[in-house]
Amino acid sequence: MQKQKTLRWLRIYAQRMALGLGAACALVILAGITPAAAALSETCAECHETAVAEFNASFHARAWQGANGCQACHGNADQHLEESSKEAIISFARDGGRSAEELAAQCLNCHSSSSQVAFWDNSMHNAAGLSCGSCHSGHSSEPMNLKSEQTELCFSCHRDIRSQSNRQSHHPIVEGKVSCSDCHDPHGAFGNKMIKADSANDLCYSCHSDKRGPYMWEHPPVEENCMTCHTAHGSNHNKLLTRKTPHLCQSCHDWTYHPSTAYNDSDSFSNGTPTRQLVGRNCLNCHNNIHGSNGAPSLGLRFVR
Amino acid sequence: MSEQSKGRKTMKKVYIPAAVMLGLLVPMTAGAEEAQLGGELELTPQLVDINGSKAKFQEYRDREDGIYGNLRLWQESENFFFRFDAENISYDDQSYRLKGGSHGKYKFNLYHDEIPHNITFDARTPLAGAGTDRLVYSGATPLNNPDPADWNTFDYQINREKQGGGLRFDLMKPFYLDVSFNHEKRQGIKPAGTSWNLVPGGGSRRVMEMPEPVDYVTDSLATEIGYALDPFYAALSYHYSTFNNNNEWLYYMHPNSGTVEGFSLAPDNDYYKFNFKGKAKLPLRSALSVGAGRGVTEGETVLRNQYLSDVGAPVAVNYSDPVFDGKLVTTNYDMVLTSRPLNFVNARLFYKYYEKENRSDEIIVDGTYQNHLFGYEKRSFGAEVGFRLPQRVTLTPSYKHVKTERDRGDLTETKDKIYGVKAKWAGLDFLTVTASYERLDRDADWQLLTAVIPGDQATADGIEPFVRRFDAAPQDRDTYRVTLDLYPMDNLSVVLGYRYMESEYTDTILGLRDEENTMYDISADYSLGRLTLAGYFAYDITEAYQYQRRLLGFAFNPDPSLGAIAGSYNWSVEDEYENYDFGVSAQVEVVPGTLRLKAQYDHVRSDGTGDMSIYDAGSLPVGYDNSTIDFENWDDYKKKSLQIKAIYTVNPKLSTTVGYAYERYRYSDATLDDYDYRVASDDYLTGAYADSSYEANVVFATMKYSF
Repeated sequence: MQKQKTLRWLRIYAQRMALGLGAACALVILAGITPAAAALSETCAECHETAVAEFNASFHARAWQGANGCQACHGNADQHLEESSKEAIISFARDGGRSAEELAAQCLNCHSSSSQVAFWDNSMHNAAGLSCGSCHSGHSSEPMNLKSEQTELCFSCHRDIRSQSNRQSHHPIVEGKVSCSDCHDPHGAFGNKMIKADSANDLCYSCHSDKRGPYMWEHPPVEENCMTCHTAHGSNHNKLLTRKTPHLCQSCHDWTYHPSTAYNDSDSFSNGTPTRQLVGRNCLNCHNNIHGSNGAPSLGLRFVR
Repeated sequence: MSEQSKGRKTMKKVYIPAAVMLGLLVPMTAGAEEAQLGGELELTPQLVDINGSKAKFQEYRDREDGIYGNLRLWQESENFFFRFDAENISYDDQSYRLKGGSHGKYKFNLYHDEIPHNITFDARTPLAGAGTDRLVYSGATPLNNPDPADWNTFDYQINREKQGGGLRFDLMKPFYLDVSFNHEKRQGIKPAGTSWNLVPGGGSRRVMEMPEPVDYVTDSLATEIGYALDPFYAALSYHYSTFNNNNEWLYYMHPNSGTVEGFSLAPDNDYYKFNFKGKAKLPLRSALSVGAGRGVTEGETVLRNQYLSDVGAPVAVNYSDPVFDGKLVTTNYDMVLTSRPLNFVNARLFYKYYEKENRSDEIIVDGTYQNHLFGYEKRSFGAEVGFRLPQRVTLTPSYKHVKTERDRGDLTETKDKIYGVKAKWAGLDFLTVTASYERLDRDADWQLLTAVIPGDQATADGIEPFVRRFDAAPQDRDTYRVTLDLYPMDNLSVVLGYRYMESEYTDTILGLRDEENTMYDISADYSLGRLTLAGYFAYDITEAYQYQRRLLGFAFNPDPSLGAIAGSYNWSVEDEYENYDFGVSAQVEVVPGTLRLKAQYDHVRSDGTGDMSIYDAGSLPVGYDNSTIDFENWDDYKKKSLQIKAIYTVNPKLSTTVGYAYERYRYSDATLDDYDYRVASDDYLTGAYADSSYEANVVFATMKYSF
């Protein structure tokens, strides 16, 4: 009985201690840390004037209304004040000596319960060793705290995509009317290439709902994957095609008569004997409904009506 | 640009949603008195001079003489924030966005966005009614209107308007609710085309290119309810979207008979999807993510019980069901397990299942043949394990297996084995090297195609054993990548990249046999005092080789090993595209904080060729040989853009910018050069995509007032 009483007393005592410590921490945070944090920011500004000024204009600063100082993200600065080395503080600089995981952990202290980063563990960016600070800056006043305008930021690593987006047929990415994050989730998703859909077609249909069908006469590669014939970012060929027609079409449709004919430069307008299967939109001059048709039987089947 | 469009292109009224958004802000900001309203107003008068294709210059933008206005407003307070952005007010590419809310409690957004897509202005057609669902001509049949100068003009352009918004409630954390809606309207004209004939029974069919009306409305609603509190996350979502085409058929007068025919346009459809996704953190620094979804697309089309033959004669058609009910069901399951059980190991295991099931009607036509329904099922699984090794080396081997089964006649199943390895070395503070290799081995099960129309089966039996369609053909693909990130100085960063990819279609005799792509790129940023320089360069060469057999009709000789025989022969083409693009930009603070100069130059170029070979001297066109039939201009283009501007800050509230922009685009292609609306005497083209070269000069001055 006495043993049970002692245990009960210990449990209650432990609970009260925990409660008291919690309350004390809260008091320290409310009464102590905040003013100290603000004071520390002023100290930081003595050496990091630009950085502090940028932060004060940032979304983070505006959202927190000055309640959090530099140490909210950069950790305790005591050692740094003595040594002034990057290693003595949590620095997000490239040569700050911290791993991607350590830096991401700083951000996740506040953002770990955000639905936007729920699948960061799955993301290819995480696997590639990137951290939040690779793209975001706590000092940024750009939308989403990005380090620079989104398209340019993505292009800085995905240079092949910049090159494709510059090509003559492209989605309006460089014009600023489509952004990378319209289609991709940089924080991780289940789709290939971190697309925001379960298949390429599902993603394309979210804007191109006219291509959903359903069609009586289907073109199987179209129904399986838009990327069989189209590229997402840009192409040398009209309609963002992966290859130039008629060769793109002919590589699958070797058949009697015109699909298998070797149309060549002599069939162009310039050489005086143009052939309707080569000039203009070539195959599409007649087989216009290439994404599917509900038209007349033998003609709809061939996507002509 | 046509007269019709000129009328439309006059200054639009400032759009009502802008007023609505600003109106909404008044009561919202009333409770946030302690915060200052900030903002910027930009006015940019500009003069634009365009020679050549205005449509290509304005492809996704609206740039013309006039005054362009941008407005930004923002406010931050403890209880409320908002940001309002209005760009290109009153022009065809205008956009308005309003975002706001209370941090951690709720957020909302509203938007109105317009995206023009200009394709070709001043296109021509002998038909009247461009932009409507009825295209007609007057006079005797067959249509005989040989002079395009007499035809009607119209513009190929599509304007897309999106309006929508969303609300996110976080008031009952860790639960949240997200609701968004979108209303999208697309209107305009795009190219369509069909064939017709003057004589029955085949022969040379003619082309009739036509303006297809685009009058689409898509309404979407998405809701998501979720729970997000580390270490758990779960969300259930529902997405609904309905597409309505105001023109289900394009009715046009047949050029030969004058009888009206119906041309199938995009059918109306409804789409909905339920989705679940969740994640739980597990011991050993692991996390399990799962997803599941089911989507349904439905549509109904009343089929036409009569169609016109090539020559325009009515042909009655008998369907087993006069109404086509289409239904596509997609199902997906996903699972990803990530783990970092040890400091030097980062592992990822995944499984993905996706099925597209086709439950549409199978309709028998005239009691002889029916539509084939396509569906497929794809399963993939794999693993990727990253090892952190000494000397700041990371090594990541990976494997992925993908199996796809298709309801398709020829290549019914493919199995992909994808092996990869990636190495990263960051041993020096100023250098990071990344190299990777990936190998794809694709096997495919092939079977003889069953032709939809029984009369085509003999041709299929003959040629199909030699054809392997590239999208599912057996393939070996190797990809190599190397990237060097260099930081030789604090103010200089350089990135060098190399990529090589080769695909060999191992079982293909007829079709695409080989593809190769090589890319080199470099980009650099440098800053020195008041000067900032940036530049990029990329060179890319792509080659594709395909081998084909020209088949004369019956009796034909499909076997390529027979060579040239009785009008059938083999031919090949190697398409090659040499692309490069580069850009340089410079910015200098002439007087710090007061005067800044900026200049940017971009250059994009592609040089394409199609190297044709016909392996039958007798089948070469008269006067040509294998060295003169090649396509020398094969989507060739050059685009040069230059922009220079000077930004003068008068005071913290007022700044001015004066600038000049120049853009020159030259396009040349064998299919479009020396364009003629009449290919032969009875073909009718409209000019779609023709003559897209242009040269443009823009002078502009911007005044920005900040408050």
